[in-house]
This record gives sequence, C-alpha cells and structure tokens, in this order.
Amino acid sequence: MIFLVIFLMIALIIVGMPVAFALLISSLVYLLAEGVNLSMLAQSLVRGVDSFTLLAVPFFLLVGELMNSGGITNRIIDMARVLVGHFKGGLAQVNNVASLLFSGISGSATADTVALGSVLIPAMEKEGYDKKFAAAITAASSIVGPIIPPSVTLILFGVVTAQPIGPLLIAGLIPGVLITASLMVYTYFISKKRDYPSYPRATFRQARKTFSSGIPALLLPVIIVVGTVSGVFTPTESAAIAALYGIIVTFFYYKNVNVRSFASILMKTSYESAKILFIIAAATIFAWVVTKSRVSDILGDFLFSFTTNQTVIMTIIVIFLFIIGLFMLPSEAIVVFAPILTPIVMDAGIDPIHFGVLMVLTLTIGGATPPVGMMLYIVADIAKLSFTKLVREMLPLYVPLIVTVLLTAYIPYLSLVFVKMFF
Amino acid sequence: SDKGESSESNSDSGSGSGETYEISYSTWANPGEPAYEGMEKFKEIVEEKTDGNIKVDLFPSNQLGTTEEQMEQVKLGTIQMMSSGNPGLQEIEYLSLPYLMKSNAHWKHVLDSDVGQEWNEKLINEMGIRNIGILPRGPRVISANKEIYTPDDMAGFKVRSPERDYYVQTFEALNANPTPMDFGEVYSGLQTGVVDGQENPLETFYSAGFQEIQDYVILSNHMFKPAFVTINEEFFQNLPEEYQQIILDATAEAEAFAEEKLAESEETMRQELEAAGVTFIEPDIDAFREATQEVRDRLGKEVWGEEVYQQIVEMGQADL
Amino acid sequence: MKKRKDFAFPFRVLIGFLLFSIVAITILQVVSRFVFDSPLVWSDELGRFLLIWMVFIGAAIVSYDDKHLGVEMLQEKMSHKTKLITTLIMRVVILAALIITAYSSFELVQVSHSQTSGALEIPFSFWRGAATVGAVLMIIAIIIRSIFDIIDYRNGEYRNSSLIEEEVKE
Ligand code: NA
Ligand code: NA
Repeated sequence: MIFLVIFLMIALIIVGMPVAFALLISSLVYLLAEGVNLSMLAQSLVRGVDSFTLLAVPFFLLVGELMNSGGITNRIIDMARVLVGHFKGGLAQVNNVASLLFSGISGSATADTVALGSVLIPAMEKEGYDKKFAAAITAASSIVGPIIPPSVTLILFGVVTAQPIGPLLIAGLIPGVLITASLMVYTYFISKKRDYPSYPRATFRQARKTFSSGIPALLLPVIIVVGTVSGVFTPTESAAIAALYGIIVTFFYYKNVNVRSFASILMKTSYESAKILFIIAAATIFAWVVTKSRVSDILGDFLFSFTTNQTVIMTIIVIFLFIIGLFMLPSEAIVVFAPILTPIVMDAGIDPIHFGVLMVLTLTIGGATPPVGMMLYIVADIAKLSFTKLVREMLPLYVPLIVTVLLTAYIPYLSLVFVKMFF
Repeated sequence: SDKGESSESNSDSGSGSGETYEISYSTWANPGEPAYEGMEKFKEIVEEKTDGNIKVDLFPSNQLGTTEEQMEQVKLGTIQMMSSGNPGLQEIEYLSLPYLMKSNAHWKHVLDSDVGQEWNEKLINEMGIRNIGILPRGPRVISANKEIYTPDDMAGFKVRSPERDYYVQTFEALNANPTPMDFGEVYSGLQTGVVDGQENPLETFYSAGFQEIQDYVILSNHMFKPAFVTINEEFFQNLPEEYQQIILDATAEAEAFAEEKLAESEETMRQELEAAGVTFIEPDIDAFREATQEVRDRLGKEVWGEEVYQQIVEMGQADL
Repeated sequence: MKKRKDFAFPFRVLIGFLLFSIVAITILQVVSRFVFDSPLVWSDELGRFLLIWMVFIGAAIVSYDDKHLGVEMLQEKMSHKTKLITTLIMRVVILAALIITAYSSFELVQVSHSQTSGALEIPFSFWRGAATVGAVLMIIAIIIRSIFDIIDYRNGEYRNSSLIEEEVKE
C-alpha cells in the first residue's frame, strides 16, 4: 500500500500537481485505505509549521529581500573585483567570488542568480566573454547560495529530520568554499585557453574604499555564525537578529529601504515563506504516513540486504539524489525524501549533519541541470540564450561540481570539523 | 460518528482464532529508557497472552507528534494508546506541583482514591479516553555548571524549563529565570550558554548526554511526574472482556518492570555520570520546599478548591 | 490584459503584518534575555502561533495567484486548451481533498479545545483551526481563480502562469 501511495505522489508531481497538494492527496488516499481518522490531515498540517525553528525561514528570506533591494549587489561585486579581478578571466572570477560573498546574505540559490546574473552577464558580454559562458558560470557559481549560512534549505532539512540547526549551518562552510574554489580552478584554465581579459590590480586606496562601504553587508553571515556558535542566541534568534541588522543597515546605512518599500518587502517575504512552509505542512502528513508504515525500515532492510558498506550506500544515495535533483526543486525534494532517507543513512553509520549538507548540495546542483533547473531558466532569460546552447556550455562545468560532491560525500571531516570544534 | 472507525477497520476477521486487533502505542520516551522498556514488556505480554491476536506497534520519541497531538490522536481513535506526562486533564496534571507528591507510589495512591476515580470518570465520559496506569520516571533534578545548595544560589540562573505555569512559577519562586526552549535545542543551548542549566529526570539528563556539558546534578527532586498510560475508551470497550483484562494486567506488569529497571539504572547511571566527572549535590530540600509553598498552595487551591487540595496534600505525603 | 481587482489584497497586508509581529517578538525575546537577563516565557509560543496563521492564510493567497510550487515540465509543453483542461481537472481533485480536510478538521477542533498551550494558555482549537480556516480560504481562492482562467481563455488571454516568469520579473 505505502509504495502505491509513494508512486501516486510521484505521478501527481510529474503531471504538474503542486507538490503540496500531491503530498496531501496521496496521504489522504493512504488514510482512507487504512481507515485512519481523517482529522489527522488538519492536525499534521498545523504541526508541520508549529515550530520555533521554522521561524528562521521567513527571517532569512527577509534578510535576502532587504539586502537585495538596491546597491548592495554592486558593492559585493566591487569587493570581489578588488580580490580577484586581476586574475586571468578577471570578471569571471569576480562572478565566482561574488556568489560566495552573496551566499552570506541570501538564503537561496535563485536569489543569487537573479541578483548577480542581471549585473554580471551583461558586463561580461561587454568585456568580450562568450555570452553562454557568462550565463553558465553565473548559474554554476550560485550553487553555493544555500550551502553557506543563511540557508533556508538546510533549515528545512533540520526541521523535517529533527536535526539541530546550528551544526547544520556551520557544516556547510567548507563544502561551500570548495564549490567556489573548484569553479575558480575551472575558470582559470578556460580563461587561459580562450584568453579572457583581466583587470589591473586594485590599489590599496581603492581596496580600502570598496571594503569600507561593503563590510556592513559582509558582517551579516558573521553575525549568524558567531551568534550561533557563541551562545548569544539560538539559531532562530540569530536569524531574527540578522533580520534586525538587515533592517538597520538598509534603512540607515545604505538608505535603500524606507517605510513604504519595507511594507512591500514584508508582504512579499511573508508570501514567499507561506509558499515554502505550506509544502512543509503537507509533507508532515506524508511523514506521518511514512513513519506509521515504517517505509524507511523496509527500504533500509532492502538496501542492507545487498550491502552494508558505507561507501557503497553513500554512492547509491548520491546517485539517487542527483536523479531527483534533475526534476525537483531542492526544497521540495528535501521535504519529500529527507525523512525517508535520513533514518537509513543513520543506520548505515553516516552522520546526519554530514548527510544534510551533502543532500542540500547535491539537490542544489540539480537546480542548474536540465530538464528542471530554475537557475538555468533564469540565466538563459537574462542572457537571451537558447536553453540547448546553455546546457552544452554547462556540461564541462558539472565536472568541478561533481568533484565537490564526491569530496563532501567521502570526506565527512570537511563538513564536520567545525561542528566538532564548536558543538 | 466515525470515532470507532479505526478500531473496527483494524480488526480483520481472523483465521478461526477470533478477532484480531492492532494497537498503535505511542510515547515521548526513547528506546533504552526504563519507561520504554516497560512498553516493550507490555507488547511482549499482550502479544503472547492473546496468541498474537492483539498486535502492538510501538512508536517512541514523539514520532507521531507532540504529546498534545498524540492525545488528540488517542481521543479520535487514530492511535489506540499512548504514554506521556500529559494525562489529558488539568486536575491530574497538577499533581506535579513541586513537592506535592513524595514518590511515584503516592501518585498511584491519589489516582486510586475516590477523587482520582472521579477524574478518570471525567476522562472517560468527557474525552473518550481512559487512564489505565502509569509508567514510573525518576524525580526531576536540576543540572548546572555551578554548585547550588539553596534557592539563593539560583539567583539569575537561566534554567530551561517547560512553558507550563507550574514549572515557570516554581522556578521563579526559587529565584531562577525559567527559559522555555525546544528540547531539541537544549544541548546546544547549554553548550553555548543560551541557558545555564536544565531540569529533568536523571534518565533524561543521561540519555541526552548532558553530562558532556554540565558539571553538577542537584538532587532537588522537585517534582515527581510519571507517564500516564492512556487508551481510547471506545477501542477498549470493543475488546472482549478477556482481552481487556490482559491489557490491564500487562499495564500493571509493565509498570513493575519499568520500576525495577529504573531502580537498577539509577544506580549504574550515577556511577557512570560520576566517572564522567559529574558531581552530585544534595541540596537543602527543606529550603526548596519552603520557597515553593506559596506556588503550591495558590495553584493547588485554584485547580482543586481548598478542600480537595488539603486531601491531596495529605495523600501525597502519607506513609504508604 | 485589463487589470483585475485583487481580492486577496487585504490578506496580503495581513500576512505582512503577521511577519512583522513575529520578527518583533523574536527580537524582543533576545533583548529581554540577553540585555535584561529576564527571559520571556511566552514569546516562542506566540511566534509559532502567528507563524501558523501566516502560513495558512498565505497558502490561500498563493492559491489565488496559482503560484504553488510544482514541477511544470509537462504542462509547459501543452497547448493552452490542454493546459486549462488538465489544470481544471487537477483543481477538482484538490478541492475534494481540501473539502475533506476542512470537514474532518471540525471534530479535531472540538477535541482539541479542552487543552491549552503551555505559556499563553491558548486553547489548541485556535491552533488547529488555522488549518480549517486555511482550507476554506483555499477552496474559495481556487474557485475564483478557475473562474478567472475560464474567462481569460474565452477572451483569448489565458497563458501558462509559470513560476519562472515570476522569478525573472523580480
Ligand atoms: Na546562503
Ligand atoms: Na534540474
């Protein structure tokens, strides 16, 4: 029965039913078949969002919205230029580094893509880069967004699997930097080959000026990380403080937000939060069905009957996540599959924090792959490029990204070293 | 009404040996805790004595929802049984007032009394659930990173406690700053210093691994709070009388078994914790009791009325 | 396309205000504990309570806009007519599920009324009731949206309201 229900859910999603309703309806079928009291539906919907931890989702989205409005994007690009503009393929390297810096103020990869892509893709084109390369590197470098805190996706993982949020956010730091580093290596070689231009090295004066205007934005991830590991606040509170900091900086320092625009930012953020959290609500019913029918046990036993080798299990699960990521948005895939997979990997002796980062990373890369890849649609639209041309330019870029996934998967130390140090 | 739906549809017609039933039995307790071992005992006895005609499925660690949600599920017959610190009725819950009950046995004493029977009737008639016993837990103790002997030592002490008024007012009366926090966040909260200490039975302290980050356990024994075993009344009434008796007996046996496990584990836990560097402190309990007298009296009278409160005070301190 | 009156506008303002309250309460919680050393007992609970209502009212607005997240791979390739028909069929199924959810939640709301939340002692019926209200609002929103879509189709103005357009506009 339960596998029929899972099949129904996937079928509904494929034919275009919104994910939240696909979860609700397939769970409803299970409850009807098993004769369970249907008031479970309403109870689980409410329970799904009755969580102090989840408050961090609207807070992080609010921070991103505030920082996104106005000149902060340009300040971040300026800082990246001071740091890496003089490398071969300077502006492409700026794109990589700006994504890394931007990931510290935004909780989602698509926000990075939109904000940086709309500035950097035209700029790169003007300097003689291939348009398709400019678009591709923008999409690929944005993947770091949800890996470095703040991260909505990591919070969702923590909530649906009951893992602590603080360690999850910290665990993403090294894998996040690795993504950017691996893309920078790739950019270096391709820039040599195609002889892309570079900027003169920035003078000390320029550097100081750029950084003094950009530093307030960069303090944001520092507040979140330091606040969380030092015990001044809980992770959720640190998200609220980040929001407060965002409000203060954008109102009084950058002066790009006023009361009027703040009201519309609040309306937009609450709307976007409801969109994501309603899926969590519906996924909670599905999770109840999954728990009640012990599907993780069944799948786990099935898997373990072939192998108990951790590396093999890890490989199977990474491949599975890649395939899922081709079709689903990371947040959707997290709420559907994390509750099923996490008990299995824990039985295999894999650390759930390590797994959380790996899962988010793998699924986010799926956001830059066909056929369903939000980041690709966005950059294709900005660059006015055909999707096929873009995908062809993306292909070699998957190599550094997959290398990062493999390093993260097989070297738990990378995700866990800071966690062990601070928690 | 579709209240009986689940119990009926759970009972397939068996193969000649009579009706079969399924019990989903849910709890906050984690595998390995004495209360959960009691539930495993319950499952073993019931399945054996009914030749497998009653199948018991255990769901530990709040897998099916919060305590309140599990309670709603039992009331609606979505699941059949639960054990938790929530008895479903304020009159019973407030027996947890600080230093009101001397032990788990005193709880039983009150629940078995006329007043206690009245409450159970109320549960059955008004909410469709029945309390059929308890699973013992150790007394609640405080953990901290500083020595605490008297309420005065708790000035400014941020202690994680549940949000319910009797917890909050108890710790306020003890000079501390009660701070509500999701249990899942307590470990990192203690570690990073968002809170200074917490309060729970020793077995919870131990299973959560708080010894890694807390230096002292203060044996304040400020509350006894056993788990209540609750069953859906309609499901219970639809069982053959023979099976009803098996369930009641198994619950009593599970309680005795958990009691024994608890006593055993208390000994070994204490040794292990001391080996891990935790210092146990016997505080001035009289001072704690005195400091909380006002909270006890006020809330007690509010919930039960003057007369019943006095009866409960006597039963709670009786020589058994 | 002519501008239509936005029936959801008051609700958009309401959830924006709920979010503002949640942020304010949580900041107050930190300040109270960290600066004044006296932790608030009720802030965590009130934040959660408001979040629940924000999500379910918000979900109804999202339904009104037809912007729930989903995989639109197949639908994007459909003609307008096929897309409209499949969308309407799916909405009928969704409406049925929402009606069942709302109807079955009445019993839960009753049963949960006797217990109250820990700090503010808000009866749990007011928490569970958010799902009831949300489901009812979503039913209304989906019906209105479907009427709009049919009118648009007749006027030749129906288009795939895909989420990508939305993201890029921002
Ligand atoms: Na981020
Ligand atoms: Na994809």
